Amino acid sequence: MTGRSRLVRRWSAGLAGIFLLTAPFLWTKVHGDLATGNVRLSFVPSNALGFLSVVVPGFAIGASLVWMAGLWGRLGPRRPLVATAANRLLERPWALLALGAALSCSGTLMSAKALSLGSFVCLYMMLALGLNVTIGFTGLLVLGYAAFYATGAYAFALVAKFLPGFPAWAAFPLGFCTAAATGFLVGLPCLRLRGDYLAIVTLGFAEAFRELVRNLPAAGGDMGLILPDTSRIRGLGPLSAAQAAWICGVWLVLLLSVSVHRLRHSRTGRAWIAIREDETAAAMMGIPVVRLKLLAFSISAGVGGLAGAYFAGFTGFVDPSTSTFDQSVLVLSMVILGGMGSLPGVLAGAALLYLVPTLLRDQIPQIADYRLFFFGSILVAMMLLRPQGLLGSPRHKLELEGSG
Amino acid sequence: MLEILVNGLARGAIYALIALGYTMVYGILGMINFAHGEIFMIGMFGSIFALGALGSAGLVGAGLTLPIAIVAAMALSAGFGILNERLAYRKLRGAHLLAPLTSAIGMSIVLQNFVMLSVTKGKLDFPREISAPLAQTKWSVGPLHVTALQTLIFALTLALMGGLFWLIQKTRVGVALRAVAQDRTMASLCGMRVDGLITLTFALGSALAAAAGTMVAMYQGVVRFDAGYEMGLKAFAAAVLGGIGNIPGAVLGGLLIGLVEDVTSYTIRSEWRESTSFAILILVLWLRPHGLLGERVADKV
Amino acid sequence: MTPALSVRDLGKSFGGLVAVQGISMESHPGQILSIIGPNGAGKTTLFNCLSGIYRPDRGSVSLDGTDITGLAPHLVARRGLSRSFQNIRLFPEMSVLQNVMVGRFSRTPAFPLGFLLRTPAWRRSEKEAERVSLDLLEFVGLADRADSWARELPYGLQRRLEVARALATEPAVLLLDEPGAGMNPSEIATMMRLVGSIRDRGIALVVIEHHMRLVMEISDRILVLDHGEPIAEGIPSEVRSDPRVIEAYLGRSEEDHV
Repeated sequence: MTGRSRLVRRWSAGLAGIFLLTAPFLWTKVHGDLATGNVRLSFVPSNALGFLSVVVPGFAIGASLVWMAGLWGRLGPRRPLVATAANRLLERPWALLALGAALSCSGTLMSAKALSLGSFVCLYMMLALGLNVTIGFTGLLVLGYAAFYATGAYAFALVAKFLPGFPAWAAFPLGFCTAAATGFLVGLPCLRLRGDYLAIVTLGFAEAFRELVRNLPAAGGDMGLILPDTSRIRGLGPLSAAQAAWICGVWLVLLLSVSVHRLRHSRTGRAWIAIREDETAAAMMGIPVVRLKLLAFSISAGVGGLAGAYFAGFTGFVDPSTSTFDQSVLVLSMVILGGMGSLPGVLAGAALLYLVPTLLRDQIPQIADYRLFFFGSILVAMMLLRPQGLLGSPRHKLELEGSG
Repeated sequence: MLEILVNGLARGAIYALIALGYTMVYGILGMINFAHGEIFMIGMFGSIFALGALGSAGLVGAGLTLPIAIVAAMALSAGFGILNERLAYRKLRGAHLLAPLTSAIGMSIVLQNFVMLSVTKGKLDFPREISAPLAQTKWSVGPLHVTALQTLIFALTLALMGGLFWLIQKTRVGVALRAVAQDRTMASLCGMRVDGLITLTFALGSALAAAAGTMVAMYQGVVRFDAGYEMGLKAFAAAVLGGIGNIPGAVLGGLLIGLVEDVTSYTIRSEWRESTSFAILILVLWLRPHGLLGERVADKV
Repeated sequence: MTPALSVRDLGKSFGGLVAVQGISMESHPGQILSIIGPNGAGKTTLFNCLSGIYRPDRGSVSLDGTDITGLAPHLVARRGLSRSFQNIRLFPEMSVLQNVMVGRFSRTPAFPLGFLLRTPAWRRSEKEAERVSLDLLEFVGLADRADSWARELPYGLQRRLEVARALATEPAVLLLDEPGAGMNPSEIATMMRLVGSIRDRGIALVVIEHHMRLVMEISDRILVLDHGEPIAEGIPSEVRSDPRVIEAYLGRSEEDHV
């Protein structure tokens, strides 16, 4: 048997299997009969057609993106151009100051809608930068990242509630420190263990956190908390509040990018990568593995908390839905799509995964429901096809493979 | 008080069935199967599909209805378990730990949202005609009250676990499974079909989860697409409590978590029920990370 | 003179299985102690006990007179013991130079915030780490490959990189686990010259090796293990003529030499 026909056979067997397994979900509808308490099953093809009409084009677009990325990797320049250019930029403080100033000025020309979109992009960039420290650098999976984001947001809202007039600028260090401390406490028991425990413990922590704020009267229960006007990010002189939020977001993203970049290219950053590559060998180099993992995780949580404080500052409210699994998955997908460990990659991933669904929502309303389905598919597909991320070069392809 | 214990044990038996799936996969691959909660949820839906099909064919009421539904649910979940292994794990077996973890999380999200999009965002009722008689029949032995449904849960759990122990301890397949868990390379050199055995582990764990799913569906009367998330988390806590990778440990951990949950929600406040298992998980990781029955495994150098 | 490394009655078992027991040995600065023995004799387990990866059940390990028994690997490394691994364990996704710089971790100050502002002191310490690492690459003959990816190096060079990385921690004692494994004769010759020049730096070397001729040539002393227990110890000529050694090792394990 030739390799090709074996491949065809395996693929058709796989597809037939998937068809059979999904058939009851896709092609039928369950009808409950309230009177008798019985159920019946009927064949409803429109159900499957509705589902497939969104998923098939979605997958087609995704597949062509991956294909184009592969083509670029094979035919494009040997060095990853985008990543190199961005990394150079990060090494030049003056260029960054100029970029920040230009983006800030452009805020005066942007519409209210663009400003709000821009602020959210900044928010997700901060989150992606923070999560990248654990996942990309240290190789630890965190599934409940939104909990730290919510910790920062709630810390700000609670302090503002009891200390009227607590300013937004002071909320950033507050959010960072509270979330970092929380991350330290959550990470302490599980970072001594294998990496997968951290994943599931943070997942559980996000749930427990949500339950906590819902049941605590001081945290406003399901309604959440509304920030007093004096604590929000406010307009200054000729700037409106929305413009101030955008400018604040831009500078925070730049500040975090430079900090994370410098951290990466220091003794600590080298130790993180070494831990990701081979824990035992790293320990033999004198690296206190547990302490450095805790450091990475706390910093990551802290950046999440800072982003949370920013969120609370510009939207003016927090509620338990900030700490949902959906949020954590969204940020995780941004980091994975952009390419773990690469700063320009995760920034691009954040912008892409926030903007595309948000902009498409006006045209195709059902996209909101399909968002998570596609994010999940991104996680699986990227791991199987391009673990280095869309922007990454094939040189880094082995990044995720074991070291033996 | 006795009633709480019985309720807790019934709940715990269900956690134990699901926890077995985590622990088996961990035992053989050394990885957590993140999509296991979703496989459980698929089992819940599978039982309703089967009952619906039987209903459309006019076959409801015969004594075999429920067993057929359970078996169908188990088969469907086993199929999804195999699909999960093929897509999320097989190609990434030699890769960094992060890769299969991420793909499994992705699978779990895909499965959950697939069910939400294709079936319903809301809930689906389990046919009362089947569950109501079981839930309403009560037997009392002195101060002890047990419903027929709880009895069924205990009986089915015992039977399935007995079957699993028999398979693992007494059959050639069981010997091969244990060999693969000990040393995969060695087992494959001895001519064992490692891929097939790993697939089998996923299928078995998924089938057990589906049996649990059917019973939870009857117990609660409704099924939802997001039911697997919480259940998966709790069963994972149970597996860790018992010592992940250890089969009797999973059973012990499941029963303990079930008991503790019902006792705390009775004695403290029911709102905190969900956090109980998380608190237990954290405590176990602090005090005895290899669980009650687990052994510490050193890094192979 | 106090020995750089001294081991007293070391024992370790897994479950009921005894991996090593009753091992005592000393290693002196500027000397090479070789450990030989058939496969499964417990040589690598011994290394794991010395370097803190396993916690020994019995006995003690001390480094320059201070007890390090049961310390975690990073603390052992800090006290001045480093090692290579039998199945090379580099950081594949880092450059050759970066691999060695990781080894400087415990020998460079932390600068809690210096790296953020890139203070002159931080810059100096980075430059220093880079210079020391480049010197070490020069020493093992890899200076021209400093910017390659570690995983792109051919096998023989990867072994040398591992040695450079271990030296970057400034060890007093260096454990080499089969430095010549899988190499061709000319590569082995280079490696053995390297081992010799490490000895000449005054480092105490403990080497696990299978190539008998080399072991006899370079070792100052040899310890022979069989079934986890020491069966002979002495200078090469003594060990070579010891009947127990000939029976346990040399006599029956021709296949190990390949």
